[in-house]
Amino acid sequence: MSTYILGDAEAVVCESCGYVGVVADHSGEPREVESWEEALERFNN
Amino acid sequence: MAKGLDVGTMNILSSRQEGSETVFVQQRNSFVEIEYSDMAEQMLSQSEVLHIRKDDKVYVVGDDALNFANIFNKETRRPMQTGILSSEESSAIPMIQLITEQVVGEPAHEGERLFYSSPADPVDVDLSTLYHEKTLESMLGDMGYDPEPINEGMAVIYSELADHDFTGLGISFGAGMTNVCLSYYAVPVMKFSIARGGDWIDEQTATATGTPVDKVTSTKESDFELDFKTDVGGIEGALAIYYENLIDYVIENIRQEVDEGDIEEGLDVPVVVTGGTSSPDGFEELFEDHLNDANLPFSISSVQRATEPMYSVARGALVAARSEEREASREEAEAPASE
Repeated sequence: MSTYILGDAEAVVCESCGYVGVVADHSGEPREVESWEEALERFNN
Repeated sequence: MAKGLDVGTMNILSSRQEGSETVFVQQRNSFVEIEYSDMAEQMLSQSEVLHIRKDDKVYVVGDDALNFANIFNKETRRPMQTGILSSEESSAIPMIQLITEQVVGEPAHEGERLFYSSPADPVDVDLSTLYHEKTLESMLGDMGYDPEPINEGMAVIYSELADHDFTGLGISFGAGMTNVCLSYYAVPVMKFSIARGGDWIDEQTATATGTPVDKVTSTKESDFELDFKTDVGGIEGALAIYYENLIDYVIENIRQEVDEGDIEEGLDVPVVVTGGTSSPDGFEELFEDHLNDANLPFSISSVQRATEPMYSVARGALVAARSEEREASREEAEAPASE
């Protein structure tokens, strides 16, 4: 692992595999779908 | 509190609101490696020069990188290329992580909302921007923010077209890319990018004139102006030729991508150009002249350049972040009453 230092901040990287110690989240997120009734109500208000 | 962030190939800028003022923090997204010695390390540590240490190497980062590159006849390196994280730079992620952290600072509270600019997929090369977007999202989340990508062209609309009900064509001429967005009442109708920008101009000029790229960039950023007629020869002459070519290339891509169906009948479209590459004096006039000759399938009401082209995207990202934050607060306040 190589460590890069800027002031008090640090970032690491493995130069052979590219690991940087930051996790990407792949779990689903609930999507809000607006119904026609809700859309019309929003429009009329 | 909420923040905006423009993650550009050449510059990273953050924006936040303090009272009635928008505060920007900017840093050049580049670095240059210098020979390590105890003396160099000591001098850098005592000076204001931003630098990163890695084992026995020292990298000068940000605005000073270009100066050091010119003085020591070295080339700057970039974490990003053509608008996205560079696949050719092994230290791209840790470098951009540290530069971004320095620019954006710590969140005011855990989960502070932050909108960061992200390019659209380019129409002229086979390139996906998804990896770049997700990596930045993860990185900013790791810093404690609640990040949300905003299309770079749409950020321009938020920043510059409020007086036109967020309706019009926003074009951001960046270093690595040019981003285009057509919006109708704040709804993006069409968005795309073109994988050419200021870097392409610099590279072509450097090749044509046999000049180091960093020297061309410095010339372009110092006192270079565009006009309808320039002398050929020299860096300025070549820069003007490639500027004109980039403008034509962008307009041709707009002509191909926007069809009549995208524009409401009878609507005259306001056009706003911005981004660091649009900074030279004369750019707006030259762009308007070429646009008028392009025979586009829609009518244009006006062409204007943003008053502060460097800050448009960061400002637009902040406008979007604050708007969403207000909406979330409003919904939260109304929630108990409706139950």
